[in-house]
This record gives sequence, C-alpha cells and structure tokens, in this order.
Amino acid sequence: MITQVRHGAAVPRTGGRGLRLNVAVPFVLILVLLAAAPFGLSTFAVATLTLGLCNGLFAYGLDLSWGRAGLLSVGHASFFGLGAYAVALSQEHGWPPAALLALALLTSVGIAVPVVRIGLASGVPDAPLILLTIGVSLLLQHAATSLTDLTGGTNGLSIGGSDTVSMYYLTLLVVAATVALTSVTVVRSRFGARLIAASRNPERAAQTGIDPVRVRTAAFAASAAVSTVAGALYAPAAGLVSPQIFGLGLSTSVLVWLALGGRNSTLGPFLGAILITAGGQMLGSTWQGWYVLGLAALFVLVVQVAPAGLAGISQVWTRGPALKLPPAAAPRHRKTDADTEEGDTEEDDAEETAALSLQGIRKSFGPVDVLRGVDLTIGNGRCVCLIGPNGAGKSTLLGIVAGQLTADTGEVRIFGVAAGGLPVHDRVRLGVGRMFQIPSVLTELSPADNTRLARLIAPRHIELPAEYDDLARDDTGEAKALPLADRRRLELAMVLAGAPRLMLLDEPAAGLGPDDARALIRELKDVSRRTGCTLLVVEHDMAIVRELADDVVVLHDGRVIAHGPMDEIAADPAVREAYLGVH
Amino acid sequence: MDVLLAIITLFGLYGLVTVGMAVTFAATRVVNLAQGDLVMVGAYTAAVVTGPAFGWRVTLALVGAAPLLVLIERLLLRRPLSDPLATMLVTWGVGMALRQVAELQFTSTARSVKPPIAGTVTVLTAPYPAYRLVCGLVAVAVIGLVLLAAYRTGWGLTLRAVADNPTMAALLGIDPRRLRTIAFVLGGLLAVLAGALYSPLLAVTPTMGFGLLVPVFFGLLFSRPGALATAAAAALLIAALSVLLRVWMSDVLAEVLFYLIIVAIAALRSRPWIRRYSSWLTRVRVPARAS
Amino acid sequence: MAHTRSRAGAGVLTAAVVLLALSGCGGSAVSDAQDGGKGPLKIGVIVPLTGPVSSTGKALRNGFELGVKKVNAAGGVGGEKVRYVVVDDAGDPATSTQLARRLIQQDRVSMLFGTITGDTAEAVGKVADDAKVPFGTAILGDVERCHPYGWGFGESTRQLLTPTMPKLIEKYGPKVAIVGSDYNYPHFYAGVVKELVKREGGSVVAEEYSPIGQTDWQPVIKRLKAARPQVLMAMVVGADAVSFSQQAKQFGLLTPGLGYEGAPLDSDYHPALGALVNGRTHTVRWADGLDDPESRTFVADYRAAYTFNAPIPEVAGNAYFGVQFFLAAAKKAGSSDGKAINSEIARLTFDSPLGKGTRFDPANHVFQADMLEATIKPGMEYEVSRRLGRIADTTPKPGCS
Repeated sequence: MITQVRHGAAVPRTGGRGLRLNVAVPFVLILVLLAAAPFGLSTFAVATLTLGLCNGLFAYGLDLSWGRAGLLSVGHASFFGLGAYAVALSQEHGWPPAALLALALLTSVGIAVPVVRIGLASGVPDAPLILLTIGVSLLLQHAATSLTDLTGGTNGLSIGGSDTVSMYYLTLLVVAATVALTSVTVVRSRFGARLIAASRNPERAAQTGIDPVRVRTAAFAASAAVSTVAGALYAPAAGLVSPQIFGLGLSTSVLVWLALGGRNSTLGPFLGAILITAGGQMLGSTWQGWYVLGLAALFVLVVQVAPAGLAGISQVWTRGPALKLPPAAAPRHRKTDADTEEGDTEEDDAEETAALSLQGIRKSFGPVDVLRGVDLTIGNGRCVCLIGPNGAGKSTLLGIVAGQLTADTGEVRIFGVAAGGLPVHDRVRLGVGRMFQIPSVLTELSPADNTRLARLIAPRHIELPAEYDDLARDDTGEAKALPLADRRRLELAMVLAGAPRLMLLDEPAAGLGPDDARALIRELKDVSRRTGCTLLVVEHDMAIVRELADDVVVLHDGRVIAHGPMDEIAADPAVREAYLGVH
Repeated sequence: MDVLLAIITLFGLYGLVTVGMAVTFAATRVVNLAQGDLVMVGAYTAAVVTGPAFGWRVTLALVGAAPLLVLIERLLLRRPLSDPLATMLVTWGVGMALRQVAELQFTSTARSVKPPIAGTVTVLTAPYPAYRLVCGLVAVAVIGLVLLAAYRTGWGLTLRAVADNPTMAALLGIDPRRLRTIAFVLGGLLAVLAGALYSPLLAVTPTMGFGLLVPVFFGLLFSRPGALATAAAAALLIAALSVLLRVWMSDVLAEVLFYLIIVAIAALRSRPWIRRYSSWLTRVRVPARAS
Repeated sequence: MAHTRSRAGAGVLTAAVVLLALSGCGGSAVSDAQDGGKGPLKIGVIVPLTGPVSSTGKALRNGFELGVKKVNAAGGVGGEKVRYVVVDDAGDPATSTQLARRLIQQDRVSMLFGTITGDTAEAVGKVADDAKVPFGTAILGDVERCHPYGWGFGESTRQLLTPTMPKLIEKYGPKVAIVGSDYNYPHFYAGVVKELVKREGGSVVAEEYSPIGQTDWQPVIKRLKAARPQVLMAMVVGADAVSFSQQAKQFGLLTPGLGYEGAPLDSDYHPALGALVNGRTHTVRWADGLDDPESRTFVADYRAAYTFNAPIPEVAGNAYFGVQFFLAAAKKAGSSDGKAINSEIARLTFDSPLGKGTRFDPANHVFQADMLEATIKPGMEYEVSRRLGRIADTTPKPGCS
C-alpha cells in the first residue's frame, strides 16, 4: 500500500521537478551572466545596467498587477516613489533605513489594498482603478513638492552611493531575491494558479471556490510592494529623488517598458526596461529628438507586430497556449482520496436536511419586481427542473442561490446553512456547483489546465470519470478553440472536480445539437445517480425536462405557482394559463 | 457671475476634448491618449499660419488634421483593434511622436496667438474678456451640436448602437469599420478644434496637450461608455470643481483638494462598496432592534 | 515542456545579446581607475535638448560651443584644442545624475557645464562635488546650497533684485504683488522680493503660486487684481509665463501703469510675448544689445551659426563668457585635474563684457559681475538702456565657507 502511494506520487512530482528545473536553470544562467557583467563592461555601462535592473524590477512589479492580476494601474509610480523617498529621507535625515523602508512598504500596501478593493467593488475595475491610482500618485507628488523641509521640495534629495560595482551587485542580489521570492510565492505557486483564474474569468474562479477579490487584492499588494523595493534600489542608483518620481511620466513610462518587453513574463519586463533605459542613456544624448521620435515609432510598431511584446516573440516557435498554469498547480495524486470519498458519502447520507431551502425571496431591479416571495425546498439528491415563461425570474433565482445576486429579503439555506450573506466562493465550499448558459471556462488555458485548476482548488479530491480524460490530457490548444459541446463538457468536468452536492444549471443544452444535448442529459442523470448530487436546472425544452426532472417547479411572475412531478404539472390549470397567457 | 463665465470657458475646453475622446471611445472602445496632442496640433496650426484671418486658420486646422486622423486610424489602429489596451498604447505612441515632431519642427519655445477679438464685454456688471467669452460659447455650442447629433440623428443612433453592442450592430448591417473611422476622425477633430479655438488663451508648446490629459481622462472615466451626455456632464463637473476650488482657496491647495475629491468620488461611485458599509450598519442596528 | 525550455532558452539568448550590445562600450568596471592631470582638456555639457525646456538648453549649448570655438581659435588650452561632449538630460534630474557620472567616469571630463532647471543643477552639483570636478552653470547664480565645485555664471536673485526693486517702487508705487510657479525657486525669489520691498518701505499686497502647467489663470488674476498692486513680480516659468501674461493682459491686470518684472520678460519668451512686454525694462546680466566688440561678434556669430533671428537668450551669453572664464582658469592651472582647476576658478579674476575683474565670492560662489537694465524693443533686440555696474552679493550660503 505504502509503495503504491509512493509510486503514485512519484510520477507527477518528477514532472513538476523537471519543470521547475527548466525554469531555474535559465534563471541561474542569466544570473551568472549578469554577475559577470562588471568584468566585461565599462563603469558607465554597469551603472546603466544597474538602473535598468531597478526599472526592470519596477516593470516586473507592475506586471504582477497589470499582467498577472489583470489590473491596470496608471499610478504605480506612487509605490516606486515611496520606496525611493524612504531611502533618500533616511540618508538625508540620518533615520534608520530599515525602519523607513518597512514604513514605505507598509504605506504602499496600505494604499494598494483599499485602492484595489474599491476598484474591484465595481463591475469593471479599470476606470475606478485608473482614477484612484492617478489621483494617489498626483497627491503624493504634491506632498513631496510642498513638504520642502522634509523632502527638499522640487530640487529633491540627492543620495550619495557607494561605488558602481558594489551598488550593481547589491541591486542584482536584491532583484534576483525579489524575483525568486515572488516567483515562488506569487507566480509559480498554487496562488499563481488561483490568480490566473481570478483575473481571466472571475465568474468561473468564484464558482470554483476561489475568492477572486481576495486573490487579486493580494497580487496587487504584492505588486505595490515589489515596486517599492524597486524604488528603494533606484534611489542610490539614480543619485537623486525628486517629486517627478511620482509623476504621470514615470507611471506611463513603466507601462511602455512592460508593453514593449511583454506581459505575463519574468524576463519581458526586465528586457523592455533595460533596453529602453540603456537606449536612452546611450543613444538619447546623441540622437536627441530623433531618438524620442524613433522610440515612439518603435513602440507603435511593436504593439502592432508583436502585441505580446519582445518576450512574446519567442512564442512564435513554441506550441500550445501562451498562458499556462504554473507547475505547482499539478494536482497531488493520492490514492487515499478514494477512501476519503467513501467517508464523505457516508456523511452525506447522514444528512437529512434539504439541499436547498428558500423562504420569502424577493428581488427587484429598480422599479421592476422580479421575484415576489419565492418559497422553495429541494430535497437532497433530487433532480429539479425550474421552468416558467420568459421573464419569470428563473435566472435571477438561480443567481441568488449561487450567490452572484443578493436577495432583497428572504432566507437562503444550503444544506441547512444560512447562506444569504455568503459570497459565491463560500457557497462553492458548501457544495454548490454552477454551469452557465454560455459555458464559462478559462478560454486562454488549455483544457487540461482548466481541469487541473478545478481539481487544485476543489475542497475534496475526487477522480474525474474516465470519459473526461480526453479533455484532462489536452495540453495542446486553448480552451476557446474547443467546439461548444466540448466546452460544455469541460465546464461540467470543472464543476464535477469540485465534488458538488448541489449543481445549478442554466439551460445546459442551449445551442447544442440534438445528439450532444442527449449525451449531456444522460451524463447529468448519471452524475446525479452516481454522486447523489442534487440538480437544479433552468430549462425551456420540455423534452429535456421530461427526461431529466424528478420534480418540476414552475415560476411565474416572480412566484412559484406549482411544484411536483411532470405529469402533475402538465395538468395544472394555473400553469397552462401562465404559459398560454404569454406564448 | 464671472465665476460662471470662467466655468463656461473651462468647460468649453475640457468638454470639447472629453466629448471627442468619448466619441472615439464609444465607437472603438479605445481611449485615445493622443487626444491632448491633437489639441496641440490645432493650436500650432493657429499659431504658425499667420496669414489668413483667425476663423480661416481654425478651419484650416480642421481640414488639415482630418486626413492625418484618417491616416492614423487606417494605418495604425486597424490591426490591434482586437485588444483595446494595445490600441490605447498605440495612441500613446502616436501622441509621443506628434509631440516630438512638433518639438523638432517648432522648438520648445512657447508661441502665442493674438486673440481675434480684443477688449472686454460686460455681462451683468462683470467685465469679461470678449474673446474668452466667445470662445467658451462657441465651444459649448459645438458640444451641444455633437450631443444633438448623437441623440437626434440616425448617425448618432448608429454610434450609440455600436457603443452598446458592436456585434449586434454589425448584424443590423452597420459597417463598423467605416463608423470607427468616422468616429475617430470626429473625436480627434473636436480636440483639434479645441486647440485652435483656445490657442489665444494658452501658451502654444509641444507639450501643451499633456497637461490636459489628466482632467479629460478623469472626465471620460466618470462618464458612462457610449453616453456622450454623461461625458459632457463629467467635463462640466470637473471644470466647475476646478474653477470653484480655485476661487475659494489658493491654487496649490485647490489642486490637492481637487485630487482628493476626485479620489473620493471614484471611491464612492463603486456603489457595492457603499452598500457593504451600509449593510454593516444595518447589522449593527439589528441587535438594537431585537433588544 | 519542450516549449518551456525553448522559451527560457530564448530568454537566455536575448539576455546575452543585450549584455553583448552593452559591452560595446568596452572596458571593465572592476579594473576602471581614475587617472587625472594628463591629456587634453575635455568638458562635459549636460543640457536638456529634448522636452519642454529644450530651447533654453540649446541656447546654452550654442553659447558654450561658440565660447570654446573662440578659445580654440586662439590656441586652445595648454597648446591643445579643448574638446567637449554634449549630452541630453531631457530635464530629468535622475538622468542628469547618470550622465554626469558617465561623463566623469567614461569620458574622463575635467569640467562639467550646463543644466537649466534648478533640480538638475542640484543633481549635477552633487556629483561634481563627489568627483571633485568643477561644474559651471549659466542660468542661475542661486543654488539653494553652495557646492564647493559648483559655479554659477547667472545672476543671483539679490543681484537681480537689488537694483530693480527700488526703481520699480519709485516709478510705479509701493504696492507689490508676487506671482510664481509652485516650485522651490519662486518661493525663494519671493522671499528676497519681500525683504527688499520692506527695505524700500513698500508692502507686498498679494502672493500667489500656481502648479506648473496651469492653463486657466482667471482665479489667480482675479485675486491679484483685487489687491490693486502697482508692481507685479512674476516668477512663472516656461509655457506658464506666456499663458499667464496673455491672460493677465486679457483681464486688464497687465496695463502700462503696472510695473511688471520677472521671468516672462526674459528674451526666451519675446517671440511669444513681444507685444505685451515691448517698452518695458528688464534687469539682466547680459543682453544681445550690449554694444561692445566681443558681444557684437558673439551675436553675429550666433545668428550666423544657428540661423537665429529672435533675441538671443541671456543664458547663451552667460555660457559664452562663462566657459571662457573656466578655460582661463584651466590655462592657469596648467593641468586637466579637476581639483587644480577648481582652486584656480576660486582665485581667478577675469575681464569680459560681463564686467571688469569678474570673480566668484568665496562665501557663496556667486559670480560678482555687472548688471544691465535692458529696454525691450520691438525690433527683436534687448537694448541696454542703463549700466547698473557691479552688484555685489556676498550673503554667505551654507556649504562653501
């Protein structure tokens, strides 16, 4: 038994280690190359490289938010400037640098967290986030300009550094350590996998049990912290810190470096920043205006020809989707999972509470009352279809059960737990799984990565049935290339990986051909029978309802007007009236 | 009274540029970061061409900039349109290039334009520079016309339809490519017009548009995509806020407060956040009711 | 996994290429060592050649170039022609610092010259002090802190205002208003104005600052107007100098009855503001209307070399004569060692159109030279209407003595 476990574990782990090695070897190679630089380069070139590394780390920090977390900040210079001023102030006033740096880091994170929370609270975070980040950076610029006694005003503070070579090695060391640390904790970790899901498809991420707001907030805070570190390194390398550092000019420059170098990459930001920094220092002074013009032209060209940036050019000769889950996301195969699952089933059997119980649910959008007091109880293990004419409030009701919408009044109990105030991902932990009308998967990832992700986050580890193997092993293309039926199956596989006990489905067969639809219905019935999962399905197609439903619930005008077996419902005069009245 | 006139003048400038940006954004989902630099293009045309009368120079700026805008849209903005962010970066590059060309051509030395109408007029006991007033009124009239066109003509309906749902609009037989070009040119021309019109009030330099970008960007972000009226309203709000604050306190303090208010409004606008706080409040209140 | 490897491999490749490109500069930072005192004299010029202040930067460079050309035509320094490297800092102090370090470490310059804005001057001053290389600037004689190796050929604020303030008050009246862009220097300028106004028995009736890049001056102008000043001292710079003056005129603040002095009267803004400032007088160190043979040759050379027909900026003249002062000191030092040249600069007295026996005061490194009153003429020339003679400024400053 023990050997078996070890054997089972050995296979994926070697793969993981191999992958990690693949990442670590070039990292070490580049480090060695960079460490040798002062032996082959002039002092000035080394100083330029130092500055480039600082700017690169800044761009790398921004990438954690713009690239990895999908949060555009146009005021990242705030964080960079805080770090730089911490070093400058400590030298100017003889204050302990460690304390000031810690303070700067705390301030950065203290600014970043509320800013990104506010941004993420609105549906589209871009606009408020851009506003807030610009506003904060301009305010900081003002503070630095006005507090002349402390900051030297517009003249700034100069920082005497040690000699170029030791400064270079210090910078290189801190940059390498920061990149390694964030690589391990943020990018290549399981957190990184969650982050990919949360930034690419927050809806599906939440439905998989991830708290997208929390994950993205953490990434943004990390991004702010890395930028602060970059600023602290920049101050002695630049030799002077002035309020310009908080300016819009730097905030946009770093966006340009990153866009040029390539987002979602470790090397890209450094490449972009070092190239532009070195170019500016070496060519800028001789070509002058023409250099700036050439840079603008080059930039426009790169965005046109290689939208993924310089680092993305190498993707031309690689296969597969551009975006991949980090290796740490490979699920840990444990044979013991099967045992635990049995235990779980036992537990399930012990529960006699209803899977779902709704009481007095009301919901209105502005003046429109969509739900006017819905009471509904669904027994454990039942397969219930929710029907009703258009506008009856079926999708709204499903949204309230899943947690996307909050009821104005009323009580939602899921397996006996009051869930009215719980966010989506917490309901997933209670056992809720949801499929959307349009299959919602992570389109930029491969199907295999999609299933991997779902299994990584799943509260319990279960093996997917063998019929999903084709998807779980498909690493070659992006999920968006899949035909609709396969995307629907992938979504189902992702939901199943989370071992759901209550599945919510919104017209699962919509858009599928008759054969695919029939296969899906068979599969759903099978799931329900095999795992004891409760199904709540919104459906229009009566043939499907007849085949699938144990019970049918009819929603009309925001109320449940009938609940019972199909035959009973079909005969109900109120139902007939409701349907005929509309159709 | 003169405060009101000041707001009208500043709103004319911000409004033209913001509405122009909003028109482009509605049709293409692209934030045109070169908008400020198009203001510069307009202002330089008015400043450099000294021969003809001012009105003709404004017209010349518009006529001259139109092919440039068509060229930019056709050559540079077609390919990356699938990714609005990439396109936004392209416009940033275009703006940078425009600034640099202006600097190489005209140097960074500021130029000025003589106002075509000298003297002051008295509006309800408040004397006000005549051209400033004319300039503000013309700008407001143009903004009004654009809004009228957007809400009362077929073209405006088409624009709003594309803004709302481009795929659906394409199904309805609207050629989105043509509309995009027209919207980009129109949006850009509004900025060029603003630059030419306001050049006698400003110093004409290659970087003059950069400073305009922040208030205009704020205006755009406060508006609803596709709803040009909200963009105009946001520009009005920002112009009024900027003028009022500076009437009440020193410019430096006013600027700090201006950004603070912008940040506060941005924070308050994400309403679910308020709702969460209010729900905390009700949670606190519930036990009180129970006891 | 194969593609992961190839992508990372591509990364290593690109990193190597970048480093290789960088190494085009040659040398080795580890074995680099300073060698001073030998070889031809080389000067590093740091000026903004791109960005908002590039026009002034170019004027400084032009004046500097002509100055070096003149010295070289007369045989150079120590029998060899003086060489120089011009670099562009785009007005960004961090870039200035980098470039100053590069000029010293890589190009092995013996002197630095240039910078326009106060922050870049401060930045280069610090590097020059650290490397013990003299640094000359032509635009302002007032840095906040005196640098042992920093020497300004521009006029100090006191030199500028000491003769000006009493005259303005006498001519227009005792009520003075101050307006400035919101950065360090205008605040300092206002401090000196207040001091001198008090000494003359006048009063400062309004003091306004506005962030750089202001487009709408109406509220400021309204407040200034409400204070009913008789003299307006303006330290609004760059494009703001133009927009402020224009709007002040439109709002009826800037009338012929109001005394107006400050940055907007500089010849840099004359092409834009000519009509508004013609006929006014402006205190300067050097003007293109200065009628001595050296200045006339310089103006003629300048116009010919750079096809320039606007009034020649004062900074060009300061740079032209300033670099000659520097090179005279280097000739005396007989070495290209920065430290040796620096002590000669501190000792040197030099005759030029800027004054007879001009020298630096040891207590504050302010250039003790003459001042002029120029009358701005419509014919694109700043005509010297009065010679104000030597204006001493010996107020000690921290950092030097």
